[in-house]
Formats: sequence, C-alpha cells, structure tokens
Amino acid sequence: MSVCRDNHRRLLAEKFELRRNLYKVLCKDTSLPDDLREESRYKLSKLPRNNSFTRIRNRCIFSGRGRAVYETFRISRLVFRALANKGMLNGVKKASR
Amino acid sequence: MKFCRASASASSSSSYASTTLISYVIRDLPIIIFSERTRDMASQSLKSILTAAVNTGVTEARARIFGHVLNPTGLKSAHKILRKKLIGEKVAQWYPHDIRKDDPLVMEAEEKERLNKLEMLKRRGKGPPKKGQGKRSKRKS
Repeated sequence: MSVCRDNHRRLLAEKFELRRNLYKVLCKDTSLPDDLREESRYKLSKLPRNNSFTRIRNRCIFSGRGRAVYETFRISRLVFRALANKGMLNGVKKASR
Repeated sequence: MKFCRASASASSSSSYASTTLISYVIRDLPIIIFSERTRDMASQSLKSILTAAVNTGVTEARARIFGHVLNPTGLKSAHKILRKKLIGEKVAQWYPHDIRKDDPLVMEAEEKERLNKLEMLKRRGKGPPKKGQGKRSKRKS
C-alpha cells in the first residue's frame, strides 16, 4: 500500500518537475521585479505536496520495505540475502568465498 | 602616530597587479612608502589596465560562443538550479512493471482471494476496526 502511495508521488514528481524548478528559479532571482517573485512564490506553494522529490522514499520492489534498501539493486537487505544465497543475483557471491 | 592604509587598485579583477600605498602620517607629515612591486608606477597601472581589458574581453567572447552565464561580481544567481539535469524520468521508473497487471483474469482471481481472506478474518472477528476505534486513537482519547 505504501508502495502504491510512493509510486503516485513519483509520477507526480516527474509530471511537475520542470514547472517546480522554474517557479523556484523565478522566486530566487534577485534581479527580477518583486511582484513576479511573489507570484512565483505563491504558485510554488500551490503545487501539490506530493510532487516534491523529498517526499519520495526508495522502497524495496519485492517487499515494499522502506528501510535498508540498496539503490543499485532496488531491494531491501532481507530480500537481497535470500536471493543472493539462491544465486539469483548475477555476479553476487559471498565475500568470504 | 596615525596609520592609514589606502589601497588603490588599477582594476578590481586583476589582483596581482594592484598597487598598494601604505602611508604613515607622523605629525601631519605624510610619508608614502611604495610596495616593492611598483617600479614605474604610471606604466604599471596602464599595463594592468590593458591586461584587465583583454581578460574581460576574452571571457565575454567565450561566454558568447559557448552560452555560459557570466557573473563577474559574484552576485547571488539562480542559474545553478537551471544548470542541473532533470531527474524526474529516472525517479518515476523505480518500480518495474508487473506483468500480472496486464492479464485481467489473473487480476480478478487475486482480488477474489483478497476479499475471501478478508471475509474469513471478519468471521473470526479479526477484521479491521471501525474508524476511531483503533489502538492508537483509543490511546489518544
């Protein structure tokens, strides 16, 4: 379920990214007139919260675990261990071997 | 004994060619001491002016050719946000596409399973509680 929400956030972030960047730039540029900066600040605040990149959490794609997820494999440590022991991860073997 | 130091730099950008005058005022008698860099003061400043002009010309030309954004005074600029690459597409492709979603039969079967399981739990009295009756909200009130 949290996977569903996280996915939704990712899609929104992709959709609004360009717009968000532009608003941010417009309101930070000191050489622009004040009313334009205010307007872009307002518009930036009006964007949905779920389109922020900071709200996205890298979840495990198998189990949906929110913590201990490795970005290179996109799986959590528990699933990683299970799959690696079976030999399902290509090129991964125990360091002691 | 009064000390006052006036630094007269020929141009702001060329720091290595700036001439520094240190004047000590002792009893209203100004004694001007030149720094060891200055040999002939007039020609040095002219040369430094020329080098500064050449440098600025080169940087401006380079910026014009390659489309750089210049900021010689170092003011706050929003350019660095625009410089960054867009990451939205990569972020949105985190979860791989589940091929079970393509088959409607499989989806129906799974949904049925889920509802059956829920019904079994409810029969036993283990289903989800009503709104406001959960453990946390009861503890709060």
